[in-house]
Amino acid sequence: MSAIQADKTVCEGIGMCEAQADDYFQVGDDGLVEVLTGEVPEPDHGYVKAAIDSCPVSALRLLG
Amino acid sequence: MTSPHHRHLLVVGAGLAGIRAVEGARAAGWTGPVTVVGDEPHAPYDRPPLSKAVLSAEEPPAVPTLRSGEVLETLQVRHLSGVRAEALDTEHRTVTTTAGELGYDALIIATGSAATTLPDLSGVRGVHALRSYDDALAVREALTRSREVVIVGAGFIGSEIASAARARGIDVTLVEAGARPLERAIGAGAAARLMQLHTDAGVRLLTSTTVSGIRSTDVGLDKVELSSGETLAADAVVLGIGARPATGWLRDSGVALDPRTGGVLCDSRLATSAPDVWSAGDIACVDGVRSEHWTAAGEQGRVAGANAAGAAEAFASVPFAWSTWHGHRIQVVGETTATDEEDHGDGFVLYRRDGSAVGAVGIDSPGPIARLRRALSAQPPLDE
Repeated sequence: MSAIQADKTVCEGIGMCEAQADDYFQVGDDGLVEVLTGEVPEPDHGYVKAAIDSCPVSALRLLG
Repeated sequence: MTSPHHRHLLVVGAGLAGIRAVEGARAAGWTGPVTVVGDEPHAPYDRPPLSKAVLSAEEPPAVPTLRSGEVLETLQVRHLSGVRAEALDTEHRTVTTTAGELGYDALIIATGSAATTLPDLSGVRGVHALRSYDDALAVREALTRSREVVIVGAGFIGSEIASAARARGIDVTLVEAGARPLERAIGAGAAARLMQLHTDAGVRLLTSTTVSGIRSTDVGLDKVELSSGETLAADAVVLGIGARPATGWLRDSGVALDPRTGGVLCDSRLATSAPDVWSAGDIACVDGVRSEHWTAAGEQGRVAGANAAGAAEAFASVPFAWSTWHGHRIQVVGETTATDEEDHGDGFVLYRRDGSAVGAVGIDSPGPIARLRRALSAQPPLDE
């Protein structure tokens, strides 16, 4: 298991994360990322990591 | 046929589309060597910050790298920096570069585009265009020394530069050749609202106006002459008048170009007219459309890379772009040129075609934009 860390002070609500992993991320009404499921099991690592890496403002991290 | 472990994937262009192509190919099982060729001296980097954070006085400039060295190492990619592609031979499967000839088993063309310049102004001291990181540093340096600037082109890049200049307290005149800025991108109502952001921030916006001449002195730029007959004092001129596909090296290569947009013709799988050659990003004309958006470039790169590795994915994505002007967050989603334009107030303008919502422009309106983007992404694409 790894954990998603989102920095809302950096997020611009661009939504690349949601476009690639909508089980884990959603842009909320305030225009900022909401992490729907904070824990990422091993089989989902690949695409969640890709979603995190695609953030244009580097607001997301995968810990552990 | 070479063993899969020895097949060489060559990616020309080290921007977002190129790097996503490598990731797409590796994810789809490409096991052979991968080379990315880029003509700039920097590690692969991201372009949106060039007209935003890199110009800001609030932070020191830094190359906005796309991936850490660690990630690039995991991808097992060889990056040749400062190397320019000069010719492509699709028959012998080679690319001639400034560092010699490189063979390929699969090739991805992702050389992006080059900033358009005005012929009379190219090479004039104090006149800048913005495409690369080095360009952005030069614009930043010019802004640091300027009290008055003229920015040519009221599109997204010109507007972001105008915003960066105003944030530094510089007097900004934004000169736009068209009667209606952003005409090709969004409807008239939304465009007027966006232009209002400029005037509210103290930018002087002149439409239906072009630069007719530049007067320089020994120390640099002095005056800018406009088609209206007006002459403005200016310390710098920055051009934001679009970009054209960087296809010069593809001349006589057998890769077909789109006569209208000048981009590399590809189908929805990003395949070009030449065997085992794909294209992605700003240079790609996919089913007749060059999208020139960050989100499209990345997704096209991923799909082109996956298909080069044997997948059969089609590119499909809801157009999306974002920008920040004078502290306001602007988002554009879907089709925003439909004639049916509804201003919902609160900075949200919705576009309908045949009654259905097909796109929107938001100014500080991220919630409704996110909801519409979600709805559009869930639908099958409309007839194109």
